[in-house]
Amino acid sequence: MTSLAVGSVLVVCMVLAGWGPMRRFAPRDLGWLGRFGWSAAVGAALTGQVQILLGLLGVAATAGVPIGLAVVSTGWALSQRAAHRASLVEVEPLPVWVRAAFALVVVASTSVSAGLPFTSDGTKFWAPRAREMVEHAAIEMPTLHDEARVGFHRRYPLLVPAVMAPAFEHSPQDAMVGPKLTLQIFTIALLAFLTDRLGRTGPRGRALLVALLAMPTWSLVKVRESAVAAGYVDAVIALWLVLIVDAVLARDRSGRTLASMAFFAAAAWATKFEGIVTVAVLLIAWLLSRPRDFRAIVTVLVGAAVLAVPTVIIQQSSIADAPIGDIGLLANLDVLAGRSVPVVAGFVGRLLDITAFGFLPLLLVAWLPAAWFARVRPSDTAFARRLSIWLVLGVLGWFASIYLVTTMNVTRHIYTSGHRLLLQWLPALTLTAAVIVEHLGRPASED
Amino acid sequence: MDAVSAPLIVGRIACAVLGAACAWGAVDVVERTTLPAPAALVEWERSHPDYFALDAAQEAVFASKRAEKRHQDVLWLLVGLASGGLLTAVAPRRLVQTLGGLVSGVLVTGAVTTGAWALARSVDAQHQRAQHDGWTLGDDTLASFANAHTGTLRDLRVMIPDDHAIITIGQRDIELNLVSWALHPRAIYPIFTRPPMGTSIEMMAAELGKTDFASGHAGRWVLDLGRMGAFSSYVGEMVAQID
Repeated sequence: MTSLAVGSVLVVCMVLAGWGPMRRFAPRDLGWLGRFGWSAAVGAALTGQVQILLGLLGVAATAGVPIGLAVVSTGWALSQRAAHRASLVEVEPLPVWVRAAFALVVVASTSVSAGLPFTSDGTKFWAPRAREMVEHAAIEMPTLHDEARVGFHRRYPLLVPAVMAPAFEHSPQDAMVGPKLTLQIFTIALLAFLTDRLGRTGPRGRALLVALLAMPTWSLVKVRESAVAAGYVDAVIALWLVLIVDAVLARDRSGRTLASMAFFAAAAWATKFEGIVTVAVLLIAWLLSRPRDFRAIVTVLVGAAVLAVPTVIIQQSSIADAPIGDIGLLANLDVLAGRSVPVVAGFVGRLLDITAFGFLPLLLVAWLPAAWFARVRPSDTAFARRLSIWLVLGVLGWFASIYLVTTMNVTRHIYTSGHRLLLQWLPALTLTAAVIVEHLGRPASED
Repeated sequence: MDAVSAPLIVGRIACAVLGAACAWGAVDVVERTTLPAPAALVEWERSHPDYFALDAAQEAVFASKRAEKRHQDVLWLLVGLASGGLLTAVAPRRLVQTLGGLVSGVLVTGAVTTGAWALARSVDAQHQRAQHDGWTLGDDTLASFANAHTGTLRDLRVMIPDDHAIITIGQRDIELNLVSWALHPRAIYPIFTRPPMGTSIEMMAAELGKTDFASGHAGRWVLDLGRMGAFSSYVGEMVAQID
C-alpha cells in the first residue's frame, strides 16, 4: 500500500499546487466543485510543465516539484483569501443528486484506473517513460536518444509521464497504483469541472450531464483496457479543450483569462502528439465564429507557443519516429475512394459505440441541429451556435484528414483508436451544446 | 382528451412500441455471439482493399473482434432504447417535459440504463479480477499483467544484474513489452528478426559476442522472445550471457 499512499499524497499536492493560481485566474462563477477541478487541472499541468522545463535543464523528475509547488501555491492562496472571496459570483449549490452521481462515477472510475494494471500503450511508453524520467533528465533519456534501445513514440510529449514520475520515484518496483492515481486526477478534474458547469444549467443541460456521467467509458473495464492504460490519457486532452472552450464561451477577454487559456493550450501541446492540432482546430473555430477576437486568439497562440518551447526542444532533440501519415496519398484517387466509405462507416460506428459513449452522441445529434435552427432568443446563444458549428466541422475535417493520409490500416485504426480521439472532443462539444440548448447567456454576454 | 394531451398520448404509445420492438430485438441479438457487418460494407471493403492491407491471419482476428464489438454495441443500443422507450411511455408528464420531450426522454433514460449496466458490470469485473490478482491496490502488480510469465521475469531479475544490457531476439510484442517493463532498469536492445530453426541460445550469444552491439554496459545478455512466448520449461533455454 506504499504506492497508494504516495499517489494519494501527490494528488493532494497537485490540487494544492493549483489552489493559488485558481484564486487568481479561475472564472469567478464556479462553485466549489468547479474550483476544485480547475485547481487540480492547473496543479497537475504546472507539475508536468515544471518537470519538463527542469528536464531541459538536465534535472531528473522528482517529487520535490509537486511538493514545492504545493507549498508556494498554498501560501499564495492564503494571501489572497479576502480578495478572492469578495470577487466570487454567488452561485446556487448543486442539487444533491448531481453531487451523488458525480461521486459515484468518480469512485467507480478511480477504482478501475487504480486497480487495473497498465496495458497496451501504457506499458509501452506512458509508464516506462515516467519511470525513466526519475533516473534521467528528459533531454538525455536513453529511450529517446539511443536508437538501438527499445523505445516507442520517441517524440511523444512528456507532460503525462512527468506528472506520473514522482509517484514512481517513491513506489516499490512492481507498484503501479500510485502513478495511476496521479494520472486519474485529470479525469476527476474533467468530471468535476463539467459537473459544476452543467449541473447549474437548466433541465436539458443536466440531461446532458447525466448522459455524460453515464458514459461507460469512465468505468467499464473492457473499454478502459482497450484504451491504453486503465487511465485515459485522452481525457487529459479533453480537459484542456473543455477549459479553453469554457473561457471562449465566457467572452471574457481579460489578460487573466487569456493567460490561463494560453497555459491550457500549451498543456495540450505537451500532452499528446495531436494536442497542438486539437488546439488549432479550436482556435480556428473561435476565429471563424467571431473574427473580432483575432487579437485575443493570436495572444493565446503566441502564449501557448512560448510556454511549449521546452516541450518542442525535447521533442526535436530526440530520434524521429516513422511518419504516421503520407500527404501523397491525397493525390491517389484509388486510396481516397477506397477509404471514403470505411472512414464514414467507422465514425458512424464510433458515434454508436454504446459501450464507450452510451447515448451522449445520440443526444447531441438529436438536440444540436434543432437548437441551431431554433429562433428562441437567438441573441443569447448566437456565438455558441456559430462556435459549435465550426467545432463540429473542424473535428470532422481533422478526423477525415488524418484517416485519409494515415500510413496504417484505416479500418483497424478507427476500430482501435477512433473512440479515444472522439473522447478528446465530446466533453467540449457537450459543454457548448448545453449553452445552446439551454439558451444560456453568460455574465459577460455581448452578442 | 384535449388538443394538448393528444400528441403526448400518441407519443407515449410510439415510445411503448419502440421499447417493445427494441426489447424483442435485444432478446434476438443476445442469443448470438457476433453480428456480421452490413453486406454492402463488406462488399465495398472487398472491392477496395486498404492501401495498407492486413495479412490473412490479422484480418481474421480483426474481423472476429469487430463482429464481437458490433454485437455488444447493437445489444446495448437495443437494451438502452427498450428501457428508455418503456420508461418514457409511463413517466410522469412533468418528468418528460423536464427531460426535453419524448425523444430526449428516451435517450436520457436509455443513457442511465446503459450507464448503470456498465457500472454493475465494472464492479463485477473488478471483483472477479481481484480474486486472481488482476485487480489490486497493493505494491506487487507484476502478476496482474505478466500472468504466466511472472515466474520467468522474477528469475531473470535474479539472474541479470541491473547494470547489464539485454538483447532480445524475435518479433513477439507482448513478451517484448513485458521484458521492457519488468526488467527495468536493465537496458533493452531489441533485434526484430527470428533466429533460424534449431539455433540454440548459446549459438546466438556466440554470434552476438563477435559484435559490439549494445556495448558500453557492465555485461550483455541475449534473450529469445520466441522461446519465452512458448513458455520454455526453464529459463536457461531462453537466455544466455554474452560477455
